[in-house]
Amino acid sequence: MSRQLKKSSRGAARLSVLSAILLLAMALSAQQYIKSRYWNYYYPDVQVADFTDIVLQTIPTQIKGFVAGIFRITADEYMHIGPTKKVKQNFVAGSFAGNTEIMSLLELSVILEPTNMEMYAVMSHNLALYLNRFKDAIRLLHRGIRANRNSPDLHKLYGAAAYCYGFVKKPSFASHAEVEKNREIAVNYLNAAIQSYLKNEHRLTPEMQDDFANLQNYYVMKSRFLSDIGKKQEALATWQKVSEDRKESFLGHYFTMLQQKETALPDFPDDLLTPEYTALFQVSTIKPPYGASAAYRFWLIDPANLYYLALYARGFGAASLLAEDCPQHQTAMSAGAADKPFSEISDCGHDHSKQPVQHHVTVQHQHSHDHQHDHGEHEGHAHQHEQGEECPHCASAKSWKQAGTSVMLQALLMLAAAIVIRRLI
Amino acid sequence: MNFSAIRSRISCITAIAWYAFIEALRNRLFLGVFLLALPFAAAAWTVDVYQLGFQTRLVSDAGLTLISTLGLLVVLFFSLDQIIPDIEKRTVYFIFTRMPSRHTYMIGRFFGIVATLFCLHVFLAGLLVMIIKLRTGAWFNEIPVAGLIIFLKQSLLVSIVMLLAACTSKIITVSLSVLIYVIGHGLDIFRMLAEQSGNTIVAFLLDLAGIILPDFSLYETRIMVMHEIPAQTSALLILAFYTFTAIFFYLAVGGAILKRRDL
Repeated sequence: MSRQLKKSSRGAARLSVLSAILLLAMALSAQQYIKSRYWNYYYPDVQVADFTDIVLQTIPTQIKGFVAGIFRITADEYMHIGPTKKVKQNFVAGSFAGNTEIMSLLELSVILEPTNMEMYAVMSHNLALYLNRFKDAIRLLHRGIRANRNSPDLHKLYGAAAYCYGFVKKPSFASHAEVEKNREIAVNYLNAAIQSYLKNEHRLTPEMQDDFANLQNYYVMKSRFLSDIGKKQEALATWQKVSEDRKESFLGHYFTMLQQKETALPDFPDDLLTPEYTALFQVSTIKPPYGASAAYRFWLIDPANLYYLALYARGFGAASLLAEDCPQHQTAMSAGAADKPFSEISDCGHDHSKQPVQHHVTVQHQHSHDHQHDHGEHEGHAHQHEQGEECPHCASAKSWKQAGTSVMLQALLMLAAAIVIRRLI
Repeated sequence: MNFSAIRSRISCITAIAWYAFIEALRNRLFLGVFLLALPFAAAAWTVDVYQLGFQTRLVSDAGLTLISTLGLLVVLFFSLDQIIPDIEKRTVYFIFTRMPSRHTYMIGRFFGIVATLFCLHVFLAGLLVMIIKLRTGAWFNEIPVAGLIIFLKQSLLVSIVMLLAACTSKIITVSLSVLIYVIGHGLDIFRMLAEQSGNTIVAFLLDLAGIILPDFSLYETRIMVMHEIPAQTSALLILAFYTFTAIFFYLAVGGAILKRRDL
């Protein structure tokens, strides 16, 4: 009896092991079939170069993309906050140029999501043009090119490489031979960018259009670099492909001079701009799509410090970029400033050359409650606003009172309830 | 209550808290949590791919996030090990025979976990401050203040876990604690949204919930640390007062439930 039981149990075990092997074989063959049949879904430009890449392949793409997104958002936040006050850092708030804090986060985001094309340009420009790490920048772009060989956005990486090579040495600061050598390489990258763009043009959706990395800009850059390396006729031929509206520029002026064979034609188009370089400045005209952050978040902080936080919340890093909040600047801009495109910048960072108005020292709040804040670092702002308009100073002061009162009320209520519970129960 | 009764109660609370603290320190999980901090501290160097130097903001931000996460792990895992196993193993009968009240037992257990949490925060915040000091030469006073605020927040969470552990099972305690933690962070936003959309009934209900539930959004430290803006002393004092009263409230409710519970 026992022998029979043993026999039957051994047979059942054998059967279950065989079934398990059969199921595993079926699962594996199905897996291989799916991957070979739909290979383009399963192997979209996967780059496996080292052990890290193998480990990363074990993490689901959604999770990697999600974490990479968090890193990118955090890097963006760091970029807007700017340098720390206690340690010397050579960058300003609101610009990625020279920002070292963002680089580790962006590198991690690129490792996790190598198919996201947006970060390569930012990182490579920062590395090559501001952080003196040109080779790292090019290596990063090559990594990106290898990981996105079939992407319709591939031209952006070639374009970024061309930009790095083209502008890492400038005629104003480097020898002409050095500039020519780099710009010759840049032309090769631009050719690759144009070729890639034209090859994938039918795959480019309107959402993929880029203000910088587009065909017109590639032609503009190529014609400029070709002219710089002495291939003037090729440059002129490329310039013909540029649309008419883009031709109204200093470069257009240079090519007109070239066509007219003017004797005063300089070697580089940059030389035409030399007199204007000293007075060149740029004012941000970007309007943030959001208002100040929720006031309750700031209740731990002194409202006097919130002026600088307001700058951050509005999406501007440096006070000097907040031109639209400066009434003098607005007046100056509106009063027909077109006659002098490159004006001089004043101490507060704005252009007040058109209207010599005396700077006010205090920030005036014309509300039902009158109080004044001093802003020593940014004295030129008569910060007046209408009744009901959102003001970070007043919102924070209100939030401090409101939050403090409600916190105290809740605390007292809880204390009373606890005492009652302890006494009665 | 005379002086000797208060003294005996305090000695009972101290004894329970001390043993709860020792128990937590001997736990391998706690050692693991401590050891986990070391590779993360080393990450400050390893993430510097382009040899750009020590990045203060990144390290302080990531460090405080790590402190908060590890503290949360300690709160959830160690608070659960305080009351429920005692009830399940019946050791609670032995303790209650030597305790003046069940409230005392609960307060003792609470202080045990708070002491563990305090040690963790002092170690991790100290490590973070020292790393930054050694690499940059500057003292970042915001980090200890932020550590203190995180400690207050997690102490409040411990009291909530204690309250839930006194009346429910382990799985429900964990689920409800996480739920209250999440709601506590977003309650203010929900209230604001309800008010903005003009839904007065929902806003009123959320206002009512806001009286009983803790408001964890008050313990927001990121803006303070990231922008290096010092916290106001008065705000910190109010926050400490709020935390102590809320802890007292939740422990009183938990004690009352434990007192009524038929063990």
